[in-house]
Amino acid sequence: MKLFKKITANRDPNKSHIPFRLNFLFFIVFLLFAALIGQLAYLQVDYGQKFRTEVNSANNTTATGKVQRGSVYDSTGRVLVGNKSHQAIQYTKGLNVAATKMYGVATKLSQFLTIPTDTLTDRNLADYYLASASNLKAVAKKVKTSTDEDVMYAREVAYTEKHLINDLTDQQKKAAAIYYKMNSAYSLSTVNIKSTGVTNTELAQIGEHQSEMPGVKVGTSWTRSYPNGTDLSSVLGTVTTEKQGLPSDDVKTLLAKGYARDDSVGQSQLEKQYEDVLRGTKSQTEVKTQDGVIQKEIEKYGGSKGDNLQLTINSKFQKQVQSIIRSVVGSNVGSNPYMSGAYAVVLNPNNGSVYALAGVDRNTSTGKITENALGTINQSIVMGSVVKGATVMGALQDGVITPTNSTLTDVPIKLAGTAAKTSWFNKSGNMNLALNASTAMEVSSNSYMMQLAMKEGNFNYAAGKALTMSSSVFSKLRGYFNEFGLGVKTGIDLPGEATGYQGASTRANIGKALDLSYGNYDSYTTIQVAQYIATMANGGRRIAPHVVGAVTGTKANGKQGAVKTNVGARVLNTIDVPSSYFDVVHQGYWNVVHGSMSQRTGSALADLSPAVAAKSGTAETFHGTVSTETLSLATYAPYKNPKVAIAIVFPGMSGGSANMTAATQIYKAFWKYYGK
Amino acid sequence: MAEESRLRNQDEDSRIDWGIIFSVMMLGLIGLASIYVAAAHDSSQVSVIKQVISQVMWFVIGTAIAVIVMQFDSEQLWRFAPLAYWFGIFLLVAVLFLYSPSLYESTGAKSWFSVGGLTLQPSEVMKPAFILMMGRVVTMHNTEYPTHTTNSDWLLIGKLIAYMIPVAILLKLQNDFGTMLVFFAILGGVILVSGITWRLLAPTFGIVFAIAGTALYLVISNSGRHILEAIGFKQYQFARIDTWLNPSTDTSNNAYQVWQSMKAIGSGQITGRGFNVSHVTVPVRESDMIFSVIGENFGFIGSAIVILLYFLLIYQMIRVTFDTKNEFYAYISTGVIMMILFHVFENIGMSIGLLPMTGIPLPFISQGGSALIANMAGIGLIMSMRFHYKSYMFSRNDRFE
Repeated sequence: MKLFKKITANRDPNKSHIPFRLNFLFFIVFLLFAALIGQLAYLQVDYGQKFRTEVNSANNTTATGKVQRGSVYDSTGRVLVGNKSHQAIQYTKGLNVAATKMYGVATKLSQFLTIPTDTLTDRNLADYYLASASNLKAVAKKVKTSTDEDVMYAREVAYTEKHLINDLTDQQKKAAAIYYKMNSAYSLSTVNIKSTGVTNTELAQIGEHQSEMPGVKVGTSWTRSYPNGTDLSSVLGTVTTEKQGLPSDDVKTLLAKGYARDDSVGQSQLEKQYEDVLRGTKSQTEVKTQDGVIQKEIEKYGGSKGDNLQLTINSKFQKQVQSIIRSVVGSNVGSNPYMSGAYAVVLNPNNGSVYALAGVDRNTSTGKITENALGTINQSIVMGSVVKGATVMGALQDGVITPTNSTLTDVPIKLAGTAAKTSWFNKSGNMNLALNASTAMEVSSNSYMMQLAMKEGNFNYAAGKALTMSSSVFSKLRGYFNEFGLGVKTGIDLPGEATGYQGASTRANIGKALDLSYGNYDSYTTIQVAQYIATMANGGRRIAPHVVGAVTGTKANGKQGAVKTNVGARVLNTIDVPSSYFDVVHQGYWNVVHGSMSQRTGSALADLSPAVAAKSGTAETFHGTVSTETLSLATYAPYKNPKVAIAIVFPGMSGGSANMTAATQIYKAFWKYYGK
Repeated sequence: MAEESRLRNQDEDSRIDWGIIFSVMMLGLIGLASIYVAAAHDSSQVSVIKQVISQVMWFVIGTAIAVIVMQFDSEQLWRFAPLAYWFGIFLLVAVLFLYSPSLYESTGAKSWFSVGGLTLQPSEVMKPAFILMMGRVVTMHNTEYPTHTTNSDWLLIGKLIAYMIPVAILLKLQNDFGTMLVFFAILGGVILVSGITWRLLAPTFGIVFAIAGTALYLVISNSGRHILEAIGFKQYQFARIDTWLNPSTDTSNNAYQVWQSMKAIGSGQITGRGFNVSHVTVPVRESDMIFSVIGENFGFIGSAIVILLYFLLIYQMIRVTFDTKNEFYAYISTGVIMMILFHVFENIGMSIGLLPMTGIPLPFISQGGSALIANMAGIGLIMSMRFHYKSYMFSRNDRFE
């Protein structure tokens, strides 16, 4: 304020306003600068440490790397799905890498690397061409300018596509293909530029010039291999290739789980179902960058290969079951022109382990037969009388019969307005046998089962009467079937399992409830029949079938390591009834094979050792207008302490005993592999 | 003889304001070092050395202009003021038709002439001319109406605004909002110092702040934005406000620039990272964002020294105004002070998240010729005061004692 005094001294202070106003202005300057200093102190002193930490951490980013996927072994340790490793040329993109820099690397790399260019689009070529700063500048002069960058670039691309890309040399096209792959990478992610067929010359040359191409390195890529053949491929499933990328349906979920867009991910069946086990843990690398250029990479975690799956399936036995099915189809196909396939499931009834899933599809118009083991879980078929054990068990639970009082007479069922429904052996009504539950199963009496259904529907049958049951009988019958797995998902550890089809269940279809009772209405899958017979065999525990027996690690030498997790029996529900009920049904299955009545349906299996119990089925089906039959079989052995349960179905037959032939051969093969 | 020559030399020396020269030189050297750091870390077609040398060249040109301007005494400046003003207006009109298309593409403002690779921004030329004109108008008015009354003050404000309007319109047409604010700042400073009674000033500034507050509210609220859009404001203008209020939320585009700058400056902490170290990339840090380099390399201490240098410069400008006691010059130096003050406050303020972003360079430090020349011309005007102190002792009746 010395200044002010000097000027205002000896003067009338009112004479000039300027000194005061200037000082006032100076005071404002002081205030504003003080505000700046204050904010600087706030940023640099108070929050300086925080900012510095953020700046330092932003420059240390963690990048992840691919690891080998887990393998799949059969129950004896044979490799079903392995990995084949390839030397690969990879590119790791830095942060904010400019297009011109990638252009330089791609152009350099194209001198050393052969890469296919046939899938390149004009747009890919134009993008590459315009990645060069000088090319872009030259093209920008040729097109109409725009303030909108996107519009401008679109014009530049259009111009380049029209006038320039045809002059690109082969090497430039290679560079364009390389640039395309580099450009598709996200910051700090690694892409394979060439993953298979990299030659030693290429490796040597790229190694030599690596320092001139920031981000380029030699790495390893893996593809799935099937050293023991692809018989089980329909069960094993597939993985996506690097080129396909993540499946578009799940892409968001997978990205959130840490997948990169070009990762291999299980796409179907086991590969999909056990993705979390097989994928492994990605390697982690700390990447230090400065201004987008990678300075240093430090591996923090080497990553671990995915765990392996050990199947419950012995691949040799599986192969044999498959060939049995195929040969039985082959020997029957001549007399059965409408045969549409054949499926078999072999299960351990005590823990749900799948021993074999075999199947073929047959195209009835071309006659072509294709392997389709998965048909056992996704083909729904009207199975016929195999289900009668469940019908009897339902009636026992419902109380309409008891173990000691179950005798009914097999008569043709004649209801008002429909043709008579009969048992096969009693079509004309000349064989009106008195049957209890077990003998009814032995001779496969349809009439007996229909009478049970009518009793459960509280309908007092008399010949010629109109069927006036409530349609709730459908859900009652199905409820009992469901307890054994018929008409519900079995819970097998494979995706895409079918539940089967339910026929219409209204009052108008009430007659069909009678068909339902002997397996001629709803359709079921082969695996459902297998679960049903296994549940009967083990005394009422419905267990989810599983093809994976254990998750195992990997030894240092790459071979299968110790078991990490065992997959045990997963009991879905138990049928809690007196054992006398099961005795009735078991006796029925025994009688089918070993009974004394001449009409018994399973005598073809009587000679097998150990002795088997079974229930056969024949469903009336149609191929167009031609009447056909579906032959099915549900069986287990040994009768006491069952070790194996088998379900077999041959749809579209015209009689014969293909189901029995197949069962006989499968049993023989089973005891050969697994011992009696 | 010898005695006389010694006296004359002493006289010459005392007519040169070495304090101002020192401040400007220090700022210029800091600027060159910062441009070197920015250029060394950012990829650019132009080499680092070339960028630094071209800035040195602009300094030489600027100094020459300052020396030329210094030669004018107050009487000459008085006569020159209207010429300079109308010539500036002419350039501002011309640039609307003869603007550089490539710079318009990249910046969205029609503010540059481009002749043979050299660019000139006429609004920069306009700044010193406008300052001169303001000084002349106020001085003339105060001579005519020696006593301030409310009526005469209204008249003065009206005159000043009348000269402001063409500039404002032309800059609006150029789409250069930041520069327009500089002119408003100069106008505000001149009005303050012109002697207008507080009875008018207090409400006037009150209204200005009220309008600014309302505008800010309009921009921040959604309904307000609809109103502003209807009047003709553009989305990118709102974006600047958003960036200012929440620099870390949106790390792209505008906000990216501010947030990067704040990170760079903050991470400099108290003593800085050291010369030529850059861990944060800040877009356009060679010009508008140059303060991020200073903050990162030299920390709080270096940043505070730069601000103190500006403070020292302004202090000396005010001192010379007091020393020379010439009313016309007082308004000129007020204009120059306001020009420098606004540039410094807005530029540093936006770099540290205190103010919204506008494209305004940091005086004597940022890369770029036009702004430097305008600032050096301003320095020339101030230097001319002491240089001609003796000669106008006995001239016009425009001293403020």
